[in-house]
Amino acid sequence: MSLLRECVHRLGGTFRRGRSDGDLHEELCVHAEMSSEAARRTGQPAETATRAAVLRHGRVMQALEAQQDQRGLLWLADLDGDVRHAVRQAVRHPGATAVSVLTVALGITVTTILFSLAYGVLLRPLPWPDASRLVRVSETRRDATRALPFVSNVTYNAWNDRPSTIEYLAGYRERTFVLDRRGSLEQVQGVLVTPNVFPMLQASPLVGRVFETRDQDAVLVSVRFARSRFSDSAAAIGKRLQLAGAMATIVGVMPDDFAFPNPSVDLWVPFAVRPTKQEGLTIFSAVARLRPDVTVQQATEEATARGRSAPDPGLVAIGMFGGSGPVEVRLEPWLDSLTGQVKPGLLVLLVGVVLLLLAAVGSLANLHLVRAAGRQRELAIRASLGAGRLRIARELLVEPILVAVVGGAVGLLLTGWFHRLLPLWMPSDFPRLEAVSFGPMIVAFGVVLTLVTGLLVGAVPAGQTKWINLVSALREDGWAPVGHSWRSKIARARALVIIAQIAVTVLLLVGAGLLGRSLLHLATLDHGYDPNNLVAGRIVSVTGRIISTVQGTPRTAVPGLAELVTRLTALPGVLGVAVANALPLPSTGEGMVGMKFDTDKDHPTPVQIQAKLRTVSAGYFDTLVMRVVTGRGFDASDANRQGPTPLVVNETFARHYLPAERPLGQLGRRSDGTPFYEVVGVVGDVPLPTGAPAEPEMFVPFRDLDRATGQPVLFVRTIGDPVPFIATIRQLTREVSPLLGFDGAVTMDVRLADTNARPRLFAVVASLLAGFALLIAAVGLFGVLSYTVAQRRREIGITSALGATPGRIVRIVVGQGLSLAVAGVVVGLAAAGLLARSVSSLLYGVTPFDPLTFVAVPLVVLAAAGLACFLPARRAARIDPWQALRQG
Amino acid sequence: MTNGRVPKAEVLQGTLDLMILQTLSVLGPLHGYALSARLEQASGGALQLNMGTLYPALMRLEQRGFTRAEWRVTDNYRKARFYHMTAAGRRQLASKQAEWDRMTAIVHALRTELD
Repeated sequence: MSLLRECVHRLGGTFRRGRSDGDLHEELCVHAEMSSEAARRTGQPAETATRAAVLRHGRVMQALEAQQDQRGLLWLADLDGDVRHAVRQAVRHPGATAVSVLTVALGITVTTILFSLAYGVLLRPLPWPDASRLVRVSETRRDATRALPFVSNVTYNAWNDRPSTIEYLAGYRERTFVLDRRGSLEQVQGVLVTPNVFPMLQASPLVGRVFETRDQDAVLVSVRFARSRFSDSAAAIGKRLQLAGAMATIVGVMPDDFAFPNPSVDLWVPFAVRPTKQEGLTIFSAVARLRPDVTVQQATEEATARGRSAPDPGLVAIGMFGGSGPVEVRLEPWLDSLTGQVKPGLLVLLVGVVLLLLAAVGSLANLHLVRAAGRQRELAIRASLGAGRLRIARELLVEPILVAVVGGAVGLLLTGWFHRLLPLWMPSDFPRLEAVSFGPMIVAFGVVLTLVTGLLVGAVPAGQTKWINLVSALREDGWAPVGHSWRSKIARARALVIIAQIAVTVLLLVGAGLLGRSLLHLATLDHGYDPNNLVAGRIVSVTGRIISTVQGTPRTAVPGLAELVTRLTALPGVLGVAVANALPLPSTGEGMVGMKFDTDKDHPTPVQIQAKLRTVSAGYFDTLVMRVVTGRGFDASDANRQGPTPLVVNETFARHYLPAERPLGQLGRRSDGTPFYEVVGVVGDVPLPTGAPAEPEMFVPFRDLDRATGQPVLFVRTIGDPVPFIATIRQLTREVSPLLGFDGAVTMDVRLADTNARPRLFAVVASLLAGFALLIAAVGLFGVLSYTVAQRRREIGITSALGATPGRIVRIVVGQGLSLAVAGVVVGLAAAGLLARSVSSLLYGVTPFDPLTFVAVPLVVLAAAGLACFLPARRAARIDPWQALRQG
Repeated sequence: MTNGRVPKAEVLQGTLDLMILQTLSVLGPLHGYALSARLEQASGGALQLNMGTLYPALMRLEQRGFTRAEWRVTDNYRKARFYHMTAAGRRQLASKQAEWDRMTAIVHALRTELD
């Protein structure tokens, strides 16, 4: 306990140092005076007494200083001096200090931001109770050609009947609703949910109630929605909304943190899973909560067994899954299923920034190493006069730590600021951005990172102190050669740091090169249609005539679309107008069909096919500028044709299912054998925006545009920029029918760019990191070579006095630098070769061992290194032997 | 102790600390000179404290929190730095005194045995 107290007092004493000098002196004077007065009183001569006191004074101060030095935390007390010394050093080299602080700040900023992203997105638990027990359920078939993130009603019903491994199985389906708001149509994100979602997530409403089992026309709204339309949450209760052609009553308002299944949802509508019947299959998303102590594996086994015991939906399953084999249920922790797509990218970038930070640390360490080497003589003398090795090492540590602390503080400020910008910069489909926040965890990470950076930077020069050797340091005069880059240990450490830096640069450049090439591949992809000067938006309506009922939901349509197309076509500047039931983007499973198809009319051997069915208007292929390979597209006469429906298929469909020499005229049949479709044309593929090959697709014509249900997509191709036309289209739509709206209009090139947002983000960030690393490595090489040249002035002077030409000197210096660069490139390429496979999931249309990247990167690095070497080499060549020798 | 002076080295560090604390506890706050005068007087002139011995000890005690000091005016209107005991100092004195008593008892016992 006394040890503890002493520590506390000593610590206090360390900072109370200010007392000592003047105050002590005064105290001693008082004592001396009193003592001499006393001596006078006893009869001693006054001078003797005073002199004795004064004489003693010096020794007393010495003794007191000795006492003061015993204040255990001596090194803390001295730190004050070291810090001042370091600050003076830093101020004396403002350029170098600014570069160091900036390097640390940038390194800390990028690393902390990426850590924050990775932490928020990948690690932070979902905001639900027992979130670790929530699993996403999806279903497929053993021989499936595609994996959808959905489960079928058949499997759902089979498993949900008294399951033993799970507590809840909740189904949901996201859907966009169109609502009327004071005369204008507004799209609102909603979700159909089974009522058990609420007990599963232990969620309760802010006001009102959640769904009861048999709720039909009830709806729950978000606080945000309630506030935007009613005076407050309570006022929303009991209000009626017109949703998808039916009226629904608001029964409750959900709090802000109920972000199920994502934060953009404003409406929750009851979802009744369709009972299992012989025909038909619906698919939807599902989340289950495992019972405590049940593993994902156990639950998967139960679900799969239940799914297999359910009735076989036959052909429909082929349509959905592309196979009719035994059911396979897949469970994945919900968090993983949300973030699985961005995880590899985030981890790769995180590794990238850590490498970059290490490169920055290396560069700063080299800078300090150079400076420490310049002070070698001074340090050696001090060491020989009794300065402890630790004492000297500490002095060398203080400045880097100081630089790191300042840089880290700047970095943390920048990080906090960037967090505000993050939502603007990140692609909108990036998952869980709402979980990313600049909190204590991130600050703590930044602080630790800063200290580690400072220690690492300082450790290299501080570690060098054990190599300080008085004799050798003093024997070499100030300008004597340090020797070839490998001769002294300090020089060797510098060389290793440079090699490592260049290796890291190569690694980052290879990564950036691969990601950039893959982005280039995506950007210059042949989309199968012309996305320029083409705008697409949805025709929406709040209500309408019920055309059909699909799976219990009425499908409505509003007349007017046909007239709209006619009027738009007549507009000057419009080249073409078309309607389709979906955008030419990858489907999520809706509209997939499975059917029997004759492979050859003359030798009918039916095959089961699975394809995406798209309904399009007559001008579709022309308006999108799609290539008709054989046969024809649709024309106006197709709408009223008798007999089998004319069918246009894409090349992938034709290749899979049709005879190559005679694709036209083949028939698709219903289950009862009557011919239902007849192939009239084959069009070019529209590859997925990720560059993956197209799926089989079938196109059928609209029978009557005025009976088009759902939210048909309207395409308008214009001569110039289509954006000014959007307002015109919107206005014409309202003129044609006040019940219709034109919504979500975006040009197709922008839409495609959005689908590439993630690869672009990864490529851009990787390129920035790589560029930064290249700069750091080049500056590092430049700095060390410049220093070596300065140190070897005399040797170089002698060399040139003995007849070496400037060219020869340049060759010597550049050769030394480049040999380090080559070593770094070799190491970096080897590492890149080992690690390339790990980025393969982020690449599109480029192999991880892309030859162009692997050839270009070393060339770029060597060119940069050459330049960095050339400048100091030229300086070396200009050394005047006369001056150099005289200076020694 | 034959020449009536106690050489500096022979004043054990702990002993001097104990003597200072003891004096402060009996006489209350004192400045450095008064303290040395008192110690000299109490020892019958045997203990003449050098400033180089006294002040490091005072500083040590202050650093460890056993005493606290402040500038005050003496009876004859001079400024001097007065030391007084803290609670920690009193506890330290009590424990050191007990230790000291044990020690002297042992030494005494040893001596009587040898005699």
